Amino acid sequence: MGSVLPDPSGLQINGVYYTYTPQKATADDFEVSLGNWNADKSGYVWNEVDNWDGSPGGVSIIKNIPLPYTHRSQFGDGFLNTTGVGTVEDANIIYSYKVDPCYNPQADVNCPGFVPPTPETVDVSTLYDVTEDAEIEEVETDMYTEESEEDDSETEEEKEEEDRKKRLERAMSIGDNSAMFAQGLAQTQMLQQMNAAVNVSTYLSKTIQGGVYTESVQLDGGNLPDNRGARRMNWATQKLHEEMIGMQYK
Amino acid sequence: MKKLAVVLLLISGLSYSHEMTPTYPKWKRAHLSGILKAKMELFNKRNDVEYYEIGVFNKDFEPVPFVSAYSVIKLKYLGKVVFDVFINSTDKSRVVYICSKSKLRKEDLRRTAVASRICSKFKD
Amino acid sequence: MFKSLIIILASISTFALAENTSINGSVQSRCIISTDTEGTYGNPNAYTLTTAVSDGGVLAVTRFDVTLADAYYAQITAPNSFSTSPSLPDTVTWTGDTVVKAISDSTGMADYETNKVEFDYTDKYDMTATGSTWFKTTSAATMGGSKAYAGGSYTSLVLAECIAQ
Repeated sequence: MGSVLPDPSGLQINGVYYTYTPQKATADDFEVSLGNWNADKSGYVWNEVDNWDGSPGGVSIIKNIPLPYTHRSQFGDGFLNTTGVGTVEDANIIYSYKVDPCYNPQADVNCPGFVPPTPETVDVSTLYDVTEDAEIEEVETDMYTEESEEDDSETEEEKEEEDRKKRLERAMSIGDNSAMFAQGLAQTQMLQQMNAAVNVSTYLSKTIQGGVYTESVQLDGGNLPDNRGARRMNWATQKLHEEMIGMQYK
Repeated sequence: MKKLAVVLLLISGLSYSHEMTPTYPKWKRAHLSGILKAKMELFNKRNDVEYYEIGVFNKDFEPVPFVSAYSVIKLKYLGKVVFDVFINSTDKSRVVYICSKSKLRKEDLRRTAVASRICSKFKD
Repeated sequence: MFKSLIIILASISTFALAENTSINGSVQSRCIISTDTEGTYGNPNAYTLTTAVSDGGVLAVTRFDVTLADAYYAQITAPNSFSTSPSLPDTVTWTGDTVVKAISDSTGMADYETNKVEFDYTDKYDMTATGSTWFKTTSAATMGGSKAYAGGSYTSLVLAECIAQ
């Protein structure tokens, strides 16, 4: 049944529906047996026997077998057997089921009874510890002794080499510094020359040619006579002026 | 050729049905003298039918006069109705069947439709 | 006394009342008619409408569910007229037949087909066993004079009856 049913472990079957068409002669005896063994083949989960003795063929049978919810683990192999004279055509056996997603509580975090898994502990005592290997200790000691002697002899040479390198580095750095200083000095002098070429101070101390502009028009005599031709107008405006002055005293 | 298949639901599929009970009703005296009544129950599981016609017949399926609240009952899909059928007590001997027949509206017809009629029988 | 009485009444009102709610039902013998498949007319030529599968049609299938043995007759009447159709240019010749398509009891229902009674367009079966029985109905309508059917919608009715014995 494993190849027939889908994967979920919480699958429970609650019914079987089957149909087929027997082909036989009316007078012949014919019997069809269908069902499922249980897992240990000690009996049936379900079993139906259809007796077609004396019945005409060519008429399909359709049956629906309700079952109590039965877990897939209890189902063994299915079978369709015939006895007598006749054949079975167009057989269909359909299982109806439901799936309990929390049948295995560990399947989902939200399932009741879910227990967070604890990491597996490793038995350290079974592991090989190289630091406690006696043979390795001896080898290490020997190697240390030889290396220490060699280190002493090589130290002086290395020191001299290092000193040589350092002196060289110092000398090169001094040379670099001098070159940089010279370049800086040259740049400064160049800037000064450029500044001298541009006389900014003469712009700042520029004076504008100005002076005093005196009135060139003079009035001779100092007396301005009235215009006789406009005396009427003059009198009118004079009178109006006096009236306006007098109004402020009323 | 054998085929094995697994489905989540039972194959009830799309089947439209109609039923009427009891199969063997009995006459009882009504509130008026000389009148008998029988109580029937009708269940509509046809989503393509909303109307059922009630009829009372003799053994040859000839109509017998009767009275009910409605001769044509309107019953929605998955609806159930209990109704009374009244006859004259003098007709009791010749009444054999009470039938309910689906009435299909012309605009609802499609292809070859099935009209269903269920008859209950009066047994002496 | 009066105060103590009030206190007692108040405390009683806080108790929850429990009731039993019953579910009632009755089992009765019944016959249920179901439409399993609605038929479709194929149009193999201009003057023929038929439900034959080889001509592009679909057979109408009706299911009878019976809960009491020897209590019902099943009568299926094939169509002999159109319920709706355009104007017909001539008389239509009808043929139709019903046979058992499937059963749910190989022992009790195997002889339904051999024991049926036929008259006109009707096939009558004695439902001697409980369970489900499927009936398929064929129908063909041929226009007289080999005249063509006009374009439009054609519908006919299969009458399925369940009659108490």
